[in-house]
Amino acid sequence: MAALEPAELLRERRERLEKAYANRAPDRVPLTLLPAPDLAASYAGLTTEEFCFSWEAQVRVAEKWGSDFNVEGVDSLPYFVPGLEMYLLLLAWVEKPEVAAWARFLMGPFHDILQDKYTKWPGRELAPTAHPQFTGGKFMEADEYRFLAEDPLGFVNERVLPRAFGLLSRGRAELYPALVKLGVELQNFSATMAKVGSLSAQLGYPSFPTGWGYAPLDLISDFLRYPTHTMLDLRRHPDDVKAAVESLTPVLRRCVRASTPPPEVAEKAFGTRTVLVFFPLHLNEMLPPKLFEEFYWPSLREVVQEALSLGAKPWIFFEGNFTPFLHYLEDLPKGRVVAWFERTDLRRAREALGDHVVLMGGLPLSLLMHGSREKVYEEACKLLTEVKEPGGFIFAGGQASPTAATRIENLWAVIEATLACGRY
Amino acid sequence: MQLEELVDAILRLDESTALKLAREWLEVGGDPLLLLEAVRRAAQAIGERYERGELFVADLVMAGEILKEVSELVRPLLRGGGGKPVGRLVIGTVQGDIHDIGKNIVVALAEAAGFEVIDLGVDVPPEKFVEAVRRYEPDVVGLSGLLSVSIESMKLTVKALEEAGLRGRVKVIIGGGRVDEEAMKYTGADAWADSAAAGVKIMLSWVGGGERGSP
Repeated sequence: MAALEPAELLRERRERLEKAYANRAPDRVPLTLLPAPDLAASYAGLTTEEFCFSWEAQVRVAEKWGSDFNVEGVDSLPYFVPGLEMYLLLLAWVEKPEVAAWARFLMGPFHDILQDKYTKWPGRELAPTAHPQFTGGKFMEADEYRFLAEDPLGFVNERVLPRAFGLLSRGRAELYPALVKLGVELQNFSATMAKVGSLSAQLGYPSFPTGWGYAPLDLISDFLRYPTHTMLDLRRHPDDVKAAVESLTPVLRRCVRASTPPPEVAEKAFGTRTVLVFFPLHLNEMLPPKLFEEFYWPSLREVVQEALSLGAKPWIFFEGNFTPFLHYLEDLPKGRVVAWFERTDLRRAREALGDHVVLMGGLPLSLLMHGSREKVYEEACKLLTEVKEPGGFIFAGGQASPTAATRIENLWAVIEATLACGRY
Repeated sequence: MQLEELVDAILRLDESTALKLAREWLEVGGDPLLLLEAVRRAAQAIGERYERGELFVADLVMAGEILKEVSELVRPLLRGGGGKPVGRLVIGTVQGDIHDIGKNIVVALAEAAGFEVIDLGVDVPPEKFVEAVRRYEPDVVGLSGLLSVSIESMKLTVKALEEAGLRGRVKVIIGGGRVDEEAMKYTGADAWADSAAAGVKIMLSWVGGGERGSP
């Protein structure tokens, strides 16, 4: 096969992904590989610490993966920023979206400055080769729901942030220079992303502009009350939780508006009118249907609806096994949502939902990481054959991001399987 | 009051009724051991319902909380700890992983089911598991982890138990949202579970189904 020019590759890959996002059948299933930070780093010969804390290293890692895997079969840059979940800051600073947009993920250097209590990092609280981790915490008491409900932004900014971010309770002599430094690091992050974006285009990988969504109850669970407390609150303080969810919902809709470029702007900057809005869901599979219906789904659906009204495509990561809840997706308009499933059986999802949503997903991680190359190829082919029709399928290799112990040859097996069994 | 009412209240996840019934039982001089036995029955039934898909993680968290609260009412009344435990479990989140929600649900359900639990916490290195197995001589070692990196640590922990000559003396179960059959084979564990309820059921089957602990 003659090598394609990057510009031609870019056009081909973009069209393939656009069609899949539009719930149609391209020439073949697009494949997107997303290595976890420790794998991304170790493959490029770096420690996870170096990858997480050096902007320059991030460009190098993107370049290494982007070049080594720049083959027919791979459709997007195999790279993701080594950041951790920090939607809380997008919410807190939503009135200043130009700042908030860059604080949506917590990067290592931001952690150093902000001294947040949500996350632990390699070379800081963890070993240099460890994976950065979000553990969260309880930064609000059960009797404070009413303050959250009365004034979500005020409560988060005035009460929660000082509890959760060590820096904010320091004296001004320490605080002010640290905030200046944070501004510099946000700028560095933005510049790094611009470099990775242009590198990506040079190598022939398309980028799609992405806004950010969150489920209101997840926001409470992840950043304010901690998941187990939230689960208990649903039964102990149902009315308080409901009032808080109701007043957070319009704020989260606003966060979607603030972080999502309109298709016309996207077209000028990225050459595509496909704009995504990413939703990482956490409590989605953990609540019994009654609580799911009462506390989780209606408010999430409103935020999803906001993304749709902007002409964007909600791209929702359903953590865990969502199988018992699949029928709720029929509530959403046909073909306009990308459902990225983790442990939900994709075959059952296809069976239950037909072509109602665009499906995204992959192989069980332990198979992808530790299975034999032959087995990975065989299972990937089976999955592709059984799920790709009638279109609207994006193959993610694994159910989630493969980590450092992954046999690299297995990633190649996935690519081969995509070429052999992913054609329409 | 019949203890079945208490078991029903726990199964309905009705915290206030369950606590009220338990207090009433103790106030009128009911046998605390029988109350504890009811807690164990409730814990098993919760597990079975979860396995049948009737309960979800949030239910297990609520159930674990109620079971803990009821057990705590009983504990001060028991000399010698409340009868013979059904077995001993050493559990921890493996090295490199600091998530503990899943592990804590297992601890709550396992204790309610009658296990004596030694919880080593999070980010537990293999040598600490080895040391704990030597010291406590558990029936079961539970290796917990949320991250997919933890599978590698589970493998190293099993290997460390082997090298210390302890592997034959304990059953090893791995648990977490991302473990499966493949991970079990890879790590050399005896069983795997992606839910606390399933895990506790397997552990009970290893120690004789909970029968030994009946007062």
